[in-house]
Amino acid sequence: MNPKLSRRELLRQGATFIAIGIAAPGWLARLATADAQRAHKGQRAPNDRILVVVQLSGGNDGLNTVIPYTEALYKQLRPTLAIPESEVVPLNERIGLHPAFAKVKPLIEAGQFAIIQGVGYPNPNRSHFRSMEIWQTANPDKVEGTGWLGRYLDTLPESERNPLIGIALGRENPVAMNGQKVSVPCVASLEDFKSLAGEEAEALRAVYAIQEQKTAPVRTATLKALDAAEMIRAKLGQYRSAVEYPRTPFAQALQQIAQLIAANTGTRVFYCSTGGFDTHAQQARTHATLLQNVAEGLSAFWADLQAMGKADKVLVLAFSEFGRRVAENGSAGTDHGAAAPMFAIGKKIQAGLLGEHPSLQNLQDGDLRYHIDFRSVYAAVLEDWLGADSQAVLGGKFNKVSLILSPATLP
Amino acid sequence: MTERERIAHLLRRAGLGASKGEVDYYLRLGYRGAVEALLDYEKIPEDYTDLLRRLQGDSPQVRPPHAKMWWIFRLLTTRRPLQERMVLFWHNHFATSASKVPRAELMILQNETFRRLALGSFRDMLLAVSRDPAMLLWLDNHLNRKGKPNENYARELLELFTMGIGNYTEQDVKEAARAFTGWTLRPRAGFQFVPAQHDDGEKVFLGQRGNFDGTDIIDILVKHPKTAEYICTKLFRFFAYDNPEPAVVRALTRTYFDSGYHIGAVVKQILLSEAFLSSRAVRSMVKCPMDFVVGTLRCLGVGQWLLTALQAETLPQPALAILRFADQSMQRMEMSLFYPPSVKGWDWGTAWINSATMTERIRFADTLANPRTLGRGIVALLSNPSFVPADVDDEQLLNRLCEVLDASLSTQTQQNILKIVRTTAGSADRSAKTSLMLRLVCASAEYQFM
Repeated sequence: MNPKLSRRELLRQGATFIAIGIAAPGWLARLATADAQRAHKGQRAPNDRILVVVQLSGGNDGLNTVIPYTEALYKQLRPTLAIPESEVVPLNERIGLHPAFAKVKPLIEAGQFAIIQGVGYPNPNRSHFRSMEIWQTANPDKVEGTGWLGRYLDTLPESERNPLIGIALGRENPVAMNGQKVSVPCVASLEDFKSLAGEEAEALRAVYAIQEQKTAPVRTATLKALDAAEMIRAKLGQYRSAVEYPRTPFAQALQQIAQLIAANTGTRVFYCSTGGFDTHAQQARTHATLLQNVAEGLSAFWADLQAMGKADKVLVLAFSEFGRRVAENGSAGTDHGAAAPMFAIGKKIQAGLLGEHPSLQNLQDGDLRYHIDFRSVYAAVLEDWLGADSQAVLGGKFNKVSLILSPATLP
Repeated sequence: MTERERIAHLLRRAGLGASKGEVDYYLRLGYRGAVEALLDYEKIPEDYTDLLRRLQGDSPQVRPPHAKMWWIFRLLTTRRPLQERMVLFWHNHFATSASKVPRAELMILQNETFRRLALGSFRDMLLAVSRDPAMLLWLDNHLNRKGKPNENYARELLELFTMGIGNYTEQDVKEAARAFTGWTLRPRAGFQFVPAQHDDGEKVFLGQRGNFDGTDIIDILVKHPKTAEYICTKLFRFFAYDNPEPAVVRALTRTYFDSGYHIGAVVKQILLSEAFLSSRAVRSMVKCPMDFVVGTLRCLGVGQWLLTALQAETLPQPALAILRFADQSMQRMEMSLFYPPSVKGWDWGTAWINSATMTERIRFADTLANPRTLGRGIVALLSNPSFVPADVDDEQLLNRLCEVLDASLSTQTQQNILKIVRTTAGSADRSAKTSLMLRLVCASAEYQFM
């Protein structure tokens, strides 16, 4: 039997039986063995919940996203940038949304969208790059080579680690997804990946049949690409989206995630980014467009997941590296700030406003003070959604925010 | 290492790849002579005055694709490879993206400033960049006004352009922002200082007190030991390897101060250092997409061919196609020239390599070696008996190809490639064999390093 065909065939069948040719890659054999053993012992399948992390790069102006629209100080400190009360989309009598973010309101009303207010960390760093690193590695105290999601993936039993266990959309590998043991493929476009298969892939595998320390990172990346491409090719069915996605790169990335979720690739964590939030000057229009793209992209994605019946398996978590200065600067923009809201979408979450909006009176160097440590949000996601040991992943105990309504049980 | 190997290493790192022709040329000068010749590029005449206009064709405006092709043409054809490499260093250091600069001419203007001051005084460079229109627009300093300053430029000046993070306070950022108020632009006329918008009050910056303006801030910064350490380390990493030994950096910072902040002196010292020629350096650096794409094309003689094409009245379509191919390839490998991902520039080293970018490197190799597309001329060239006599065996052919591409494959990889060539149907004839080998060499793990 042609080993190439048998491997592909196996993948199609969901890799559920043991008899695997020797040419099958290690991960495939592992998966098949684990599945078979579980079935044999009558155990249930492992936790199959999915986390989608959305990074808003540049420092989203949280204060103009989730707005304390009745506060006099808001209007005073933002003479040109304050969103007029008449335009704010109210959530209650004090807090409302930027009109460009209004698309999420129906999701809030449906109990599926949460706004976690005033999130940050001690001694806020106002460098984009350091602060982003802090959020991704979950370590404000020192520079770390692994990220919180990578460390989470490390905790999964080897039997669950397939080549697509985590996927970073795009051509950059976020440190968040680096583990000690696990590193995940970056996927710029599913179409490109699909071309990496067949004879070409076999030849490349043969060229890379070497053992050399120095070139190991390249070998790892290439073999990861080949494994991922093969699995994507085998799994990707005739996905057809039920909803129309906006034509932004962000929405297109989300659509690729939806396509992978539809294909049951076994992926536990997806990571994608969208940038442009560093609005130092003349920000009003730019920020409105950014918020609109985020809201429209996310709501299309969520509608798609609902239509395919996968929404109850997915949690979306969105963050930015910091918020922006409360007082606007002289160029109708805002400089780097501190605390800001995070967003979550899911069917089993405490929706609406969580926590208090940070005070505009009690500022720290002109910036909003945090009252929820971002690691408390991570801890809730890790424990209550993914069923993981948050202390092991975060390197410390953090009080979970009450975000997830039906906590995961460990398999 | 033989002298030839040392020269090849020098050209990979301080040039734009070790094409056989360039190695032969610099070898005659000896290692030190080659270093001096690379640094002393002003002596080599070079004229690209008409290039932009010709790339522009009928377009009334310079657009970003023209700017990109203009720079890639220069990278592919220049006889001053160190100057172009330094332009890339500065483009990465003062990373400005055309995404926020509405006119592509301004990106070219900035690029020419980097070229003009490439190996000059760091103080001159900082002053020029602080007045550079693209930079003023990119980091919003053109809107930085007295009373309510805009911190964007001041912060990145400290964090990324001079001292590095952790060596200043938030208050220093605010004070520096005040000092740069009024450094703005006059529409269509470039830099302008507007006294009415400038805050000439007292500032306290890095422990010094005075009515500082932007030039004073630059003077304080350029003299600061942290700046010396930061820029010298970054230059060393760019040419040699990561995490340099403290003694190496100390020696470089001494030269930085002794020479009056002269970048050329620091670069020269790096290239003549033992560390640069050590085994820690040689073939240990991941090629950035520019090195992967431009280096490969230069080795294959595409630069020479483009220079010939430039002599025609209008640039021939195949020349434009090569430039576009190079640009798109680099872009897909996550290095779009004039569009760095952020003001921090690109992440270098192994960060260039992940499954998505390796997929693109493999795709580049496929296109380059595909005789039905862009690779037609290249495969024909390499299949010509004048390149390798017709009666050589597979191993000799592979060796010759590796020599042309300056590829150093492990024995195992060579054996693997030869085996694939033997077992692949349809690679019996010479050009099919050449094409397959070219594809696999460029896609190999070793070829990603320089």
